[in-house]
Amino acid sequence: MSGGLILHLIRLEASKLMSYRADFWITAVANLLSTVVVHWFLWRAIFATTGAEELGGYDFPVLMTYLILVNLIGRVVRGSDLQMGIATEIYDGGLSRYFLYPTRYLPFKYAQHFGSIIPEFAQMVLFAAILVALFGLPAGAGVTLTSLLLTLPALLVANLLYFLLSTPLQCVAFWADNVWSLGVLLRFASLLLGGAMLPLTMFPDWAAETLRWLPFVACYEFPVRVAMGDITGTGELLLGLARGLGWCGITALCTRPLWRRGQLGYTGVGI
Amino acid sequence: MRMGRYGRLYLNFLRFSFSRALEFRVDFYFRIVMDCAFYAVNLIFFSLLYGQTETIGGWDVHQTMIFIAGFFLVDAIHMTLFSNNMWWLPVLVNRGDLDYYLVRPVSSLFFLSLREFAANSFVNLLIALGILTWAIARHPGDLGAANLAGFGVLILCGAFIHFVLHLLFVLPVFWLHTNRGLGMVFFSITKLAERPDRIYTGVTRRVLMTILPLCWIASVPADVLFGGITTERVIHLLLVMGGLFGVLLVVWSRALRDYASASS
Amino acid sequence: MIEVENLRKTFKVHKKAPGLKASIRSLFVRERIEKEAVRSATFRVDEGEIVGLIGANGAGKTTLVKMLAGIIHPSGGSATVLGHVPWERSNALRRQVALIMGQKAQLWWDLPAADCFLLLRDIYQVPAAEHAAQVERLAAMLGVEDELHVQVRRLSLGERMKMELIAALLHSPRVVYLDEPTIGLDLTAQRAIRNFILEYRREHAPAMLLTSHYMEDIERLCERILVIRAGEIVYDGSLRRVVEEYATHRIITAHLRSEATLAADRPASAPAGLVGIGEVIESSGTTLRIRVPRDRVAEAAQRILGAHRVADLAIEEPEIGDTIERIMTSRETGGAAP
Repeated sequence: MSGGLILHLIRLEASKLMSYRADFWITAVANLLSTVVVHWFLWRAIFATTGAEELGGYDFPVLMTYLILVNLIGRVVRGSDLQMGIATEIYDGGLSRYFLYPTRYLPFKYAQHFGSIIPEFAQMVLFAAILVALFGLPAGAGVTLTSLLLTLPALLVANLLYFLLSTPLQCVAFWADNVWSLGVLLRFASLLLGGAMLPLTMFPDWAAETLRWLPFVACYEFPVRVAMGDITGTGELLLGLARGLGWCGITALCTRPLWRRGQLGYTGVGI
Repeated sequence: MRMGRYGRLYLNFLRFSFSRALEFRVDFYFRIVMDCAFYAVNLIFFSLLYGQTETIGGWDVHQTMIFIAGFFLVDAIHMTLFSNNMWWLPVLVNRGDLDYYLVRPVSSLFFLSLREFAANSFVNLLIALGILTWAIARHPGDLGAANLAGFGVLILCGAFIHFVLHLLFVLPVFWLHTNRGLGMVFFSITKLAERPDRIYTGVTRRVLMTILPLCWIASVPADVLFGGITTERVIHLLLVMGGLFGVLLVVWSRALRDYASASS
Repeated sequence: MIEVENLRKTFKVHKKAPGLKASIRSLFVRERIEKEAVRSATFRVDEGEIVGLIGANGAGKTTLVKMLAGIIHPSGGSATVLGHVPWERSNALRRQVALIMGQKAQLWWDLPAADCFLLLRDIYQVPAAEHAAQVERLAAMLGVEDELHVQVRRLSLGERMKMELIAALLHSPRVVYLDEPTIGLDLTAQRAIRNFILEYRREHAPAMLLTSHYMEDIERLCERILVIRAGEIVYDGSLRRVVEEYATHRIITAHLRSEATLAADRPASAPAGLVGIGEVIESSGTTLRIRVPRDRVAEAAQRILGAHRVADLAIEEPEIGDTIERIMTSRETGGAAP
């Protein structure tokens, strides 16, 4: 696939998403507001009940920063995961035209997926800027310009990894009519196990240690910790990125036989 | 007579929906797995929270488990009876395909809200009931038969409120013609219903108990289970349900009127 | 260019009896049956040929096209397109092949056609200048220059089909599969597309395989046809030969001088002197039309001329469509395979 085609696809998808203006903004604002409200009230109540200064190593303002950041980042990492674009094209025969194009299907879809997150990324930056302007950054949050720049490669890896995690699930569409539930399953599992519902420091030690070896941490907790300046050493940063990329490789390897097998039985229903 | 007719009609919906759902057996199994994952994630989440605190919103871990299981049950009722229909309504409106439903000599609200019964979610309803039974059984104290009965009734009311709220968020598609209506917005705000109502204070609490009565979905029923029902609560509930349903009927008839005039 | 040898495709489908009990049972146990979509196909298509692929619904036409386009894998047999195995999907082959489907849009619904063409330019890596010239030429040929910047979903069916044709031909393919390209179009649009296909063939001489249920498409575009019936190619040859070999009758139309010759109240019966000669299709006023076995045409003509005062006599072949229909359905009617 040529660089020109990749850029073209990214541009197209980004502009397509932005044409659904009302939905794009309303759903994003509602999502952020409800997240902030729920987290704020829940953790304020817990901190008030326990009287503790810190829980899981986070004081209340820093914990809120973590939870809001992970919510904002999550949308960029997942993109429009629940649309299950690949599964839909397998199911309705839209995949057929791609078999005629002199290009590889999965990289083509990733380029489209990447394009679709650019408006989400811009929105994330805007919302973060508004929140900082309104409430400021807590002292212990550790967010700096450097940490934010270092978050970019972590976000790229997280986005690629999430796409690759969902691909084998979407390949199940070669054999099943509706695999939307698998996309939802991935989302639930990754949110909990990736530290998006609460930081891994609040899990039992054995669980947190185990989860750090699973791919979901690279999707959520790792990029957020980088953004919050929690990961300062080059070695630690590179190790985290390498783990994410390693999981990308493993998932891609698992997808290959599934994709090959699926194509053999593909019927192109819909043509 | 009319109830009998609608009852028979609903039986037909059930029969048709079951046959259709069982045709896609892999999806049938996947949905069960998906909902079990949803239940597991939430139970684990609250268990982890209780590793940090003794109470949340005044409830201990056993009480919160009953609350969250009650929410599972309301969610399962919604997924089984209403969710497919809520998903399809914006599609039908945007495609102009409502006509088939509007010409039938049947209440269109009934038809469009209930025609698809998600048979694959029905198993999850049974699982959610099982989790609720387990959570109640684990509760150390005696909850009392009257409170349990009140809880059961309020859970059903909570399911009704959940449905009405969801439909009210979907109906703007008649005028906005957006991609999915405000249905996605509703999914976001139902997160507020997944937490004990006592954590909310001030204006937020007042809103969530009245005009956007998300606390009535599962949290107030759980509160009644632990503390008993009062006359004040009953009046509050009747006002909330009556008010919501009244608003729904008004908005619904307005939506259909505007749809019809646009189609012609 | 296209060479096919004993190509086969079998699908496995599940069977379910009606009713709720059967639905619950099928949740756990399913009966699968094998359906032979293509039984054995052997043929070739050369450069510059437009070959029509005709068959009833469910005969296997689309399955055959999908295998040759590389969309699905066959169950057996072999095929090569421009020397490549299609289902291996090499880029070298895909750059030279195009598929146009009348029933399924390939263009991106939310984009203007011109934007779709630009994306295809990058997919096929067509040089920019060549691409621009090709778009201009093809749009002019089809008369859609003014619609290039309109969103595809806002175009009429005819305009959309024209854009689909342009999209498919931008990279100047050497092999083109046309799957019902004129379906649902009005007469003007159908004619425009047929003329375009002929013009394109004149300029580029690709190998083309066309499926259509419209006989006018077949008659106008194809010198050669393949008739497929229950997954098997039962005829491979020219249109003219179909009629010569398989049309068992001819139609004699006689315009008579005298009105009193034919009884208007007995239109179905043979007039005097012509009993047993053939099947009367029309007998009223001064017009007589009889379907006569091919070997008795001369005899029938002589008897008509002898029995009546004939102003004009014409002997015609039957409608090609009728003949082909009989080939397509002869198994169902129990008739001998032609």
